[in-house]
Amino acid sequence: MNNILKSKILMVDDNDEIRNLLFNLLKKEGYQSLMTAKNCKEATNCFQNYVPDIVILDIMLPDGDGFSLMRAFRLISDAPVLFLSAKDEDNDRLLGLGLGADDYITKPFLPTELLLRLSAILKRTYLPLHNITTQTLTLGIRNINFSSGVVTTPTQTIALTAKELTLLKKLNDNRGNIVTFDSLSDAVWGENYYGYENTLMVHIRRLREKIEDMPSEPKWLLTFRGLGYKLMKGD
Amino acid sequence: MKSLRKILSNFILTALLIILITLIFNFCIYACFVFYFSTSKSNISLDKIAKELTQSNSGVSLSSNGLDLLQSKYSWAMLLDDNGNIIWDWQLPSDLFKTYTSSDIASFSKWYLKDYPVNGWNTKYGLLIVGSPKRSLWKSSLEIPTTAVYKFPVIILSILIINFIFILLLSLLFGYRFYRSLRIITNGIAGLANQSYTPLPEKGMTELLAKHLNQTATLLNKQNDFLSKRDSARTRWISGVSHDIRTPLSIIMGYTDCLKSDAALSQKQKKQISTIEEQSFQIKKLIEDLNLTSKLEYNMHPLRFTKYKLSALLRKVVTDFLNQDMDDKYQIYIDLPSSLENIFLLGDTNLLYRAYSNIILNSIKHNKNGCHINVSVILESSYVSISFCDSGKGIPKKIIELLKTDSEPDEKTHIMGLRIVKQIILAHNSEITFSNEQIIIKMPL
Repeated sequence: MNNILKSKILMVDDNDEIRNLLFNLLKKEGYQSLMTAKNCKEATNCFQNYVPDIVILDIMLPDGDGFSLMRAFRLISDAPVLFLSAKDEDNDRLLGLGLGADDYITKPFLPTELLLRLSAILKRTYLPLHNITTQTLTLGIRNINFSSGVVTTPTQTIALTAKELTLLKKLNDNRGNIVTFDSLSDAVWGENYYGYENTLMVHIRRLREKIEDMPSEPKWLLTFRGLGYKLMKGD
Repeated sequence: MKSLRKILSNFILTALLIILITLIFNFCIYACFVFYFSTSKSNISLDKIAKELTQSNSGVSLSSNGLDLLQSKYSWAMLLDDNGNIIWDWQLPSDLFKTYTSSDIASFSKWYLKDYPVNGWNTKYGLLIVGSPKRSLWKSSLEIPTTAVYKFPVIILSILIINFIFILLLSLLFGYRFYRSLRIITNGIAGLANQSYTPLPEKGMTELLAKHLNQTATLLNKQNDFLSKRDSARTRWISGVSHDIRTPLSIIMGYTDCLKSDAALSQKQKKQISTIEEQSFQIKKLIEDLNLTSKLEYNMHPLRFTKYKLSALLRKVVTDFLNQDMDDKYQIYIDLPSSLENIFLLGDTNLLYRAYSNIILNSIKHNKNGCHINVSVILESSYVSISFCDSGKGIPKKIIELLKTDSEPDEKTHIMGLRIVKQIILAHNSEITFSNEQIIIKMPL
């Protein structure tokens, strides 16, 4: 599959209006193969005959619950499951995700959010190559190649250390947003990052020396006092 | 221990008081007794009688005055000379007419003569013996060694001391027993207070008390059960309603979103749709808050406590706000001491995140012209104090009062956001104080 819009999507919800809404929403977005079911029985039948690529599943159904339905599906195929439920209890969310659901969205939901999450799951599952494609980052006159870990300027090539690369990747993933010291340390040193605050500062300083024209007056990698760093968006 | 001491000292005091009163009472009775009886019969009258005796040629005789005295108290009298011969007599029973030897005199002088209690008096004519009716007087003779008489004060004192100690010990014993039976009741009442009541044994001197306490406890338990049943019913009801609102709201929000991208809409229609969108979002937030607040109120929200880093959580809250493309008129500053970096606390981070966000959101919502928001932390030895303050107009007095007293606001005032903050903080065994200038949260370390 090279186009996620061709994915076969099964939507299970006992509310007619919700099924219609989802159907229209996905149709409009360009998804071509859509199926709906209003209870467990219909959903099981549909799953067996139609073998969807992804299931959008309600938890409370008239003849059973979404959790056991997902378990039954998993015996047949590994198709990802996205829960869409009116239950907002943490317990249900954790249970769903714990059982191996790929995402959990509570009603009422923002249609845009649903579409984004749906396409993210589909890309992750069916277009894995898409993620590994060489990523590059351009900061002014510098080009950074993430797969080789090299910063190229018109005049020279500078290699980034593994930690600098990890930091830059993390900042680039959240480009335009502040990334806290904590998430940066977490990315580099893992969960037990306690005590690395000063080391982090040293790495950021070295990184600036490689990506900034004037490291003492950074233009790209800005410090937010007391919070973290932000990689500025290009103009 | 304090109550034991109090009970014991009360007991001792009471015992001493009872003894003192009894002693005084007895002494009074004794005094009356002695006064009444001792004046009615004494040797002084015998002395008076002796004075009325006169010697004449025909022998010794008694004046009529003396006779009256004699008659008033005695049933017979006789006068013995030195040889034991009767030289005068008055109503002397016939079996007493005899000559008395000195041994006779010695034996009856202190005791009885043929069962007549007798008293004697030496007169210049001889020994005057008067007799009272049989069985009218009880006589005893007291013989105490002189040494013992000298030791009397010591003996009386030691008897007093021994008695005192004895009383003290007894009152201690009874006091302790009283304390023990009271302690069961006290423990029962304490149990009632912290809801760990176990039925008391209904016996001993506190039987009735225990019985009443048991009845009270049963009643309280019943009421508690009833209350918690009602609370859980209410929470379930709110949870059910909010669940039922979610589905129709999803549809409203979904179609609004579809409509929004319709190019054929006029400017006015677009504005109307975006208002529908905003208001739907408000409803969504309201039902989430309502559900959470009702669950927190009745302790039905399962708290998931984990170890977390306070500094990281606060940074995340502030960063998430800053990353939302906030208007420039709002500025958030954070000031954390470096010592906070090694502080880990236990808490439900989802709830705490919500609480801190609510506080900042509240500042933004109520300062439409913009404000500076300051988040700062002071680390103390046993707690950490988190302060949120803004440069805006501050929290109105009315709201502070409502939050302090947990009373219900009128229809125009909405304080659910801050009330949830309070509930979450209290669920973490922490303190929160609202004032016009700032909100301070004190979390134990």
